[in-house]
Amino acid sequence: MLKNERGFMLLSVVFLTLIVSLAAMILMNTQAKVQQRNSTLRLTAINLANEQFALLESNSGATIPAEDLKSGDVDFKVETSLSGGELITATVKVKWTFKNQPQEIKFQKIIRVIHSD
Amino acid sequence: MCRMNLKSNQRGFVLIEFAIALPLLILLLYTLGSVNLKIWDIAKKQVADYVLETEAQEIIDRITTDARAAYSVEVEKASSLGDFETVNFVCHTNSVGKNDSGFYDTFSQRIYTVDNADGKNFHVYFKRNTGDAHNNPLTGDNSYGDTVVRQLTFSKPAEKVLHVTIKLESLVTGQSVKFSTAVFMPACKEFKI
Repeated sequence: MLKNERGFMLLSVVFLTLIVSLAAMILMNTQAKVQQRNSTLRLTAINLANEQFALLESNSGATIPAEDLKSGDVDFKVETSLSGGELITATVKVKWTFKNQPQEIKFQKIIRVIHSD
Repeated sequence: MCRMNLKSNQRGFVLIEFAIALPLLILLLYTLGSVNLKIWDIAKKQVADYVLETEAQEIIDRITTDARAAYSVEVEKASSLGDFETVNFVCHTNSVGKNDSGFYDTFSQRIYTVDNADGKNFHVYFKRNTGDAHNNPLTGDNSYGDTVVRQLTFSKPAEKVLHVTIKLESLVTGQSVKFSTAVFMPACKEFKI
């Protein structure tokens, strides 16, 4: 009987290690997702693009406030190009870096510039 | 004889096995319990952050949508309440039903304010007109993650352009988000700020 039980401790330790390792892997994976904040940066970038479109529509030459181009440690770069006649096709690109990976969103909008009265 | 030997060898076996297995079981349950609690805590924070982002973006979306159609815009400093301002949009409408005098209204209002009606935390509220008895809360009191408004301010960077900034803080994680954007108001005739 005792002969059959040989290895019981070893087996328990192996199983215990495996289970704890598995739990730790799940935990580490979830932890990484919590630190993932690119969704907020993406929303900021979308808001910046809309801000740029609003300023273009007003045709005032106003620029985006410097504080809007920064979110914590992340700097946003907004590039705008215009083409067309009365109806202008405005292309706005917003770039930023997240975990050393370059990120970019690009929007296009056809706008009619309204001159102020 | 053989039977007797077996019994002799097995004497105390269950106790020893139990003495080894119980600490192992406790250790295993403790570890799994800790990991489970940690995962639950992380999940709670994730959901709270999601609520935080969603609420902030929803306020931005609502204000910019109303501003886009606004006939007149009036921004007032909400005194002694902090870094908050009230914005009152007046929009043209075809008909919103008969008023008390029996006429159709041709204007409707969209009023966004920040207040601490619950006596604790500041939230964004929405009214359909100045006489509206219902001050509808747009942020906070979410079961998945309560939030508090730290900033709601407006500026006029250009003609017919409303710049809006909102800062919300999660009461669960302590994290805060700050969104700014601007909207062009083509139909705006009066802009008081």
